Amino acid sequence: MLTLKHFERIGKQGVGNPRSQIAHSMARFKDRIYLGVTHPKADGPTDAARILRYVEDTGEWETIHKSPLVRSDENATVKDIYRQNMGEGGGALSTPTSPYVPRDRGYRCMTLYTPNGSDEEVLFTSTLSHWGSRLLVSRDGETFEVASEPGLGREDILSFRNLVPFNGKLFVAPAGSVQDGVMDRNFGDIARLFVSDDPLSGEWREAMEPGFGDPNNLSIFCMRTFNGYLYAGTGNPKRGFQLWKTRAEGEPPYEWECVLHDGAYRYNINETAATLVEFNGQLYLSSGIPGLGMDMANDIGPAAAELIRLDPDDSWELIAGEPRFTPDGLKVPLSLMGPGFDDPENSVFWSMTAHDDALYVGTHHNRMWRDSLGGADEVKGGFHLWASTDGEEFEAITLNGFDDPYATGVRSLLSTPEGLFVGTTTHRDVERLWRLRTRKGGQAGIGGLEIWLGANR
Amino acid sequence: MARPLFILTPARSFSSVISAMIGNHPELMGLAETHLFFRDTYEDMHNIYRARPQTQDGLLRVVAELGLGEQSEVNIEAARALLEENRHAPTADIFADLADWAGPRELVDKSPMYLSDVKCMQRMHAAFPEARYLHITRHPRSTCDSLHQLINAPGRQKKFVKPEDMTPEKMWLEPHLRVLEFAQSIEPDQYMRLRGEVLMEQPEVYLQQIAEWLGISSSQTAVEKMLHPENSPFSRFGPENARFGNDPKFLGDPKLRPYKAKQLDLEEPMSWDPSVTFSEMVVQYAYRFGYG
Repeated sequence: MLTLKHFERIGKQGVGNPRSQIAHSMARFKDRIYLGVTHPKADGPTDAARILRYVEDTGEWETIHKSPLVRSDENATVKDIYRQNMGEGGGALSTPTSPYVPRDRGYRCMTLYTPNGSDEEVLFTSTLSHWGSRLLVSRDGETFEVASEPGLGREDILSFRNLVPFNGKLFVAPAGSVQDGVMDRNFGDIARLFVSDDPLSGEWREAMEPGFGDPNNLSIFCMRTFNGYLYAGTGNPKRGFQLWKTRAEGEPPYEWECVLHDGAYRYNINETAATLVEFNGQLYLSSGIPGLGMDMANDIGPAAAELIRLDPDDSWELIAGEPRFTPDGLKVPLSLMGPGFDDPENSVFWSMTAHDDALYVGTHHNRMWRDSLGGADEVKGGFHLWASTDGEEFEAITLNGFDDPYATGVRSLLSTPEGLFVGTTTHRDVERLWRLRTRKGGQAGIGGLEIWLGANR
Repeated sequence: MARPLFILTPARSFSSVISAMIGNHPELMGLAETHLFFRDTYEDMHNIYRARPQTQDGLLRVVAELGLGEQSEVNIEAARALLEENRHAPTADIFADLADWAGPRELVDKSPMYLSDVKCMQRMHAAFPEARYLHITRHPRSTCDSLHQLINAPGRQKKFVKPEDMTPEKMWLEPHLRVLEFAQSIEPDQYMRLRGEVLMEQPEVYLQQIAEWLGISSSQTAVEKMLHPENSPFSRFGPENARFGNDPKFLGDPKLRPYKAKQLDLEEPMSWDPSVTFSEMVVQYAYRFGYG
């Protein structure tokens, strides 16, 4: 199992653009590491999202693809649903400084897929765009082409959070929406899932009844294949997340079976099923509340995340979280840690992966926001990264964002033969705000996401 | 040090039957409503006893049963005298005496009055730092409807209820918020919350888990005993000089009956006043507790 001493930083300051704050997606394709970055705003050309590739020999990142620019319009200046209550004129996500803005301000998800009838994998990437998310495809790792209509025909879809191949098909789950001048980065009208057995053809079908029949399921947050099924976890601001599974047999929409509901009986405090990962023959599910530990749009939280484990028969245990009575028996956390691994600021267990002999869990941590925006004398915080070889006893690798309070989240984890890649969300720009607010003076650091590599060297 | 279980629930939320069920576990002793932690000393309780004499019945019955061996009219008067002799005693000390008398069984105490002020819960915690707290909820609509019916029942004295208190916020939300506030101040393993409806629907399933949480026997035999709330010495009317100590409806018919929760919504106005609907905050906490 990796410990702090095994990690070194291999990308900093937004890997070439300090405005790149979110290491949203990573994939290993044709033996190279690809990184999709996202910008929180899209003020102008400098916010064009990029796909980068790691050059191991030099330790540098080369830009392989960059978003095209489009003329700014009302979709470029939408209000952020989380900031809607900031008064007249407030809450705008972006204030364009140029007539042109990037079409894609982020590359949210990457996955490898082998098209039917081919033996060559291609790399699919989803864009984060205010004009409808697109799928990009790369066959050679050098060029990325548009491979779908905006939003697969629904231009209000902000992005696709999950792209998962299963049984020869590709499943894509929309996340977020841009409509009526408001951007919701997480939810749309109702959860949907699209499937295609020939994604390059552009033919997509609905893989499920919208919302799994529940109008409160507003998005699919995570998907994973496990034990011959495709599992999908939802975000549900009223009842808490649900977890469903399907064998995806026959014609879509497929038959789905509900595995967990009511946020595993923590109700809407477990608003979303944030991530899923298989480890040692069991499925781990994490929860979370979007936003800064408080879903301002739906008035949920603040609360910290939980970690749950399912067996192949779908029985479940609480690994870290709130003890409770359930129809499935008394649940007490097997790790002996409460929500957020005993830290109330860990609002989401944001990314998980199995690597070598251990399970790794990275968090989203709110403390920096509270300290900075509240004008605290000192800014503390930074994400946590935890690891476990048995899925019950966890050890912390870092409790402070690798010594950077502005590194608020582990946004992506990628297990490779070269080691464990860790992509951060780092809001260095907030330091400038804090220095102004507290009249500290001095120079704020140069910002942007970081990439760390953990390896037994 | 005694480790009592306090059941924290607003009025009309299954508190009587749930408390009697749990208190019937062989290792526990469920009490009538003593209200002891409502004030600091027994003397401080007298204002309440003067205004509503029935509120003393529960404590008199408990002292008679546990301290004097049975609930008879003579023992009720002896209990009254005993308490008067110790009228300056802290209520926590009186509760500690009850715990000694009941030992080795741990006490199970409930009183909807405790939810009227977080200080009541703080008194419990100060006196019994290792006590456990079971927070029982009920759907806001059925809670409010039931309270409204109770208050407007024929012959009911309405002078204690102000019209401004007949809102879902006052009847349902505020008591629960006080419990949540208090729960923040204790160790996580001391507090659990449960929807009363699910316990009433599947008592075997949840009583076993409650026993597990309390660290007492969760055997089938123990759970079977808990399914008979009518066997508690406080699940019937008391002697003429201390008749009550619990919900009269429960005292008249304490048996557990099959229960099926109704499907209730959070959008419709209240049955007694079409102009009253649940506020956003009530709805939000209802979702948080698993209603909706």
